Amino acid sequence: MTEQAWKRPALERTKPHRQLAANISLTGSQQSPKASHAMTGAAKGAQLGYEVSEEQMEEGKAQARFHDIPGAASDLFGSGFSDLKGTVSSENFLALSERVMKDTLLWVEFVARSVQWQMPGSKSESNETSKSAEQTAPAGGGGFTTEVSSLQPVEVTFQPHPGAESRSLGVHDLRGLDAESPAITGVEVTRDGDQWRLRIGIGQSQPPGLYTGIVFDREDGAIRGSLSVAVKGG
Amino acid sequence: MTSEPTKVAIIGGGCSAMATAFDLTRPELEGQYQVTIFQQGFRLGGKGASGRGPGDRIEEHGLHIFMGFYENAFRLIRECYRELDRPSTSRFSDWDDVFKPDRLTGVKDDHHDGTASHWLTWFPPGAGTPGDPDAPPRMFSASEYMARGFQLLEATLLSARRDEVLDAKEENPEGLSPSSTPIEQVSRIFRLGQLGSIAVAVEAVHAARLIAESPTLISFPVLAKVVDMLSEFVNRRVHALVSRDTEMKRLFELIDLTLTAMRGSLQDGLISHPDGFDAISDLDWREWLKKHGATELTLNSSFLDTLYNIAFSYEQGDLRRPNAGAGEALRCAVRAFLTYRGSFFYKMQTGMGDAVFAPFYEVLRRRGVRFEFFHRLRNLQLSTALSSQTPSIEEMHFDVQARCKDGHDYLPLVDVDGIPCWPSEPLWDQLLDGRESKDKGVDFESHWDATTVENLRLKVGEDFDAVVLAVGLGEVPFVAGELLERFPHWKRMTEKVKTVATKAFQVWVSEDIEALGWRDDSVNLTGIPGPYETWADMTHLIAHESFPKEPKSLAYFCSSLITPDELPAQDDFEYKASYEAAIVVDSQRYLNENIGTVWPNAVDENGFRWALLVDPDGEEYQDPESSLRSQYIRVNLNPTDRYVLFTAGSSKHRISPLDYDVSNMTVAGDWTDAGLNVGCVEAAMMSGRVAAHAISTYPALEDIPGFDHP
Ligand SMILES: Cc1cc2nc3c(=O)[nH]c(=O)nc-3n(C[C@H](O)[C@H](O)[C@H](O)COP(=O)(O)OP(=O)(O)OC[C@H]3O[C@@H](n4cnc5c(N)ncnc54)[C@H](O)[C@@H]3O)c2cc1C
Repeated sequence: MTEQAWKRPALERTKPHRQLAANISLTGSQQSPKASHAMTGAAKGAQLGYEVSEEQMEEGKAQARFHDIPGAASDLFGSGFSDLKGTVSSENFLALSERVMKDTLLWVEFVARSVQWQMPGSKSESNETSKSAEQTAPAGGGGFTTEVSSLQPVEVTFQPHPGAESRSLGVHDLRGLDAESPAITGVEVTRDGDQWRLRIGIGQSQPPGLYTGIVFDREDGAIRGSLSVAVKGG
Repeated sequence: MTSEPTKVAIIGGGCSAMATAFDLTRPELEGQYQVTIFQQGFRLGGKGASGRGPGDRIEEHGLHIFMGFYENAFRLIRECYRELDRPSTSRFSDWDDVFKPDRLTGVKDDHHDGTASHWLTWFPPGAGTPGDPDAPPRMFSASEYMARGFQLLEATLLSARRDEVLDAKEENPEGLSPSSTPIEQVSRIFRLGQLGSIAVAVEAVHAARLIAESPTLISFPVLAKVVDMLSEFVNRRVHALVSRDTEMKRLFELIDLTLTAMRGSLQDGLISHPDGFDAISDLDWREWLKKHGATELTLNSSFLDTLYNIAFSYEQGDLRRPNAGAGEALRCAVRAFLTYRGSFFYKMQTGMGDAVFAPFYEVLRRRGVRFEFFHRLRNLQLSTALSSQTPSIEEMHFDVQARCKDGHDYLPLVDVDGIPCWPSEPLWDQLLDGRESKDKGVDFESHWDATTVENLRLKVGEDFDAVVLAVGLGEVPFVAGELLERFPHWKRMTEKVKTVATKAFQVWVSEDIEALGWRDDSVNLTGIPGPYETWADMTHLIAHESFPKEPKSLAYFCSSLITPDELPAQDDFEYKASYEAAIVVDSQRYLNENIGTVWPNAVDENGFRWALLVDPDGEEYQDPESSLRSQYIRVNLNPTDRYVLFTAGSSKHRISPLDYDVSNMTVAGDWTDAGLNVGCVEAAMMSGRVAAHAISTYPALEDIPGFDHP
């Protein structure tokens, strides 16, 4: 053969780039626009954590004391707690539950603190709580306003995911953690220019407790945030 | 340099070959490459081939589902459909007529009291659609992954919490009734208390996610600590609470698995490791999770089993020998869960051959690609270069299995209701002595059928310039013996990268899945007791078949098959027949004994109700044997058809299309080292694109999504 045989071309590289740290900035001076949002989320998360845990703990304790059931723990907790299996008294049972909840709270505090620590300039945004008669309370920020009309004191926590404001949003009914409580229905979501407005109406007979619902995207059904209302009772 | 095009011979016509041919013949390359595809037998597709059988029924190589992260596969398929330009009146005029989102996926979950239930997961839609032409180039950054991981967890927790409350209310009213016993009441209170702690976890995860979304504000050690704390919380506390509650248990497994993967990545420094996730490829996926503190509950969970099942990750097909490289599994999991667009899964609305390979065939032919069907490669002959020199392929030796009448080209497609489709058998009438071959039972795709009408030698410089070896891995030792002899790393690759045989079973049934007792929507379910672990409802395909008596449901079952690694000699005609006989017995047993776990009404006291099976020709059978034989059962034993595994420690032995062992040859296929390194359509197509780059430097590696990835 006289003609030059075809050969593969020389290549610039023959391996994938597998090290991606180079692509991301691990440190930086620019404050993310999400920072204030993060603060709000974490602080509210911690608060919500206390609410939920305390409420459930109290109810659980009361029930267990009322019925005074020995051995309940092993039955409820299964083999996970081998040290408590067998002769578990209701006292142990309560102690154990309390420990679980306390650890949880410690943990939530840790997260909240670590966020705060990262952002020394930020301050927590207080939740809207009112003990007055019929009221309308705006809350939230960054393109969102929540309006609550309620005769009972309530605390609203609205957590949109980043970018939610540019989507078409809806809110599922807010369900109580107590399955027997009626849901808070008919949360209205309207948009006026750049501003989103969430209207929540809470009836006088709404049992106290925590109600949560998912903020969803009307177009693709994706979850875009969450809305919680703690009804505090008269 | 001459202006003559470079003659590229692609050996094999599977996904990888289609991708190479498609990229090399793009109009931008102005005809620089004249491509010929040499394919044994009568059809393209390889492990993704399908054919139309009696009653136009679709007969698949095995169940094929596409995933929403298949950026390369979808990009090429979408471009192919655009170029195909079918009339808008066609049922399958564009890619999204053919690929439909499929969101419900399930795992069978065994409980320690011996009962079982099904865990059905619904994945929220991801932004955009896979292969979006205008999508900006993807950066697979660690911080994005962390943020998306937390986001997915949060979404799962939120939706599960809501369902839990609804379930408790609607489905289990007696548990909530005032007349329940004290213990039930306390149990209920604590169940709700558990929900409380999950609620706390939701908020905690949310906070952690927000931290992760602010990479400019946080250092990874702090994030690692947060993840650690979160895992600690989950492990020590929630675990104990959930061990008796199915829904909680599943949530726990999911959270634990995700957090373990995150923690492991941080602890092993994978984010800044020069080898990325390859750094952990020598460990088995489960082993690695264990090393990083995953609980026993998670390690033994059905969810984790699923990740092995869907990739047939069992050595020699033996379910007792799970083995999946941790690096590849992690890469695939993060790509699958965190980068999918549109739907998590996509199901084809017709056979894979008709959905993918017929359109590629038509478009490539229009571009001038030649197809040489019935050409089986026998040997790649290397030049006798000095050991210090890079050798080239000097000759290729083929067995021509059949010739067409009057020297015509073989035209492989048939029309089914206006759609060009692959038949399940060769179109015998086009072949010289076709009738005789059919009567003799010739099987051009069988490794154990040596039918040859001619031996063909193709010479470099005359018949071809460049070669792309795109056969299945199992075939490599049979066609590249000289390479294995010359290069120890080639030999090692064929020994270390393992393959597994598979089996598939399709059943057309006269009742719908609801009547059969399945209580949910159409589903893909894995973890059913064997011999077929996976069931996918494919009822939507019935409308595209033409049975005289229309079935009401269609089920595909699929699984790995136990075989030794060593293959019998090519004249061992008993080998395939014995497995085929055994699979019929196995399938019969499956329907009699195990199908009741998903279709309780399909069985009575005598076992499976055989009259449920619908024959494609309208025959009615009473005996199990004949009923069963009217359905479609296949074993994939041919070396090239064996599924490619990614066992621990094997990835580093793969050969890359970019390696320069032979001066005029590259490789393509899901067995190569081309970025993803697992046995799937996306990996095969990526490899095909990388091979095109090796031949032409096009496409740029940066334009092959997912190639550069930890
Ligand atoms: C049962 C099963 C189910 C699967 N399910 C899925 C799924 O749901 N999703 C997913 O993404 N992936 C799935 N896969 C994997 C996927 O099918 C493969 O990764 C992909 O098809 C491999 O493409 P390839 O081009 O690398 O090889 P192949 O498809 O094996 O192509 C090789 C080609 O070479 C030809 N050939 C072989 N030897 C010769 C020879 N000597 N001469 C000429 N031609 C030859 C073959 O006929 C074939 O056309 C599944 C695989 C199997 C086996």
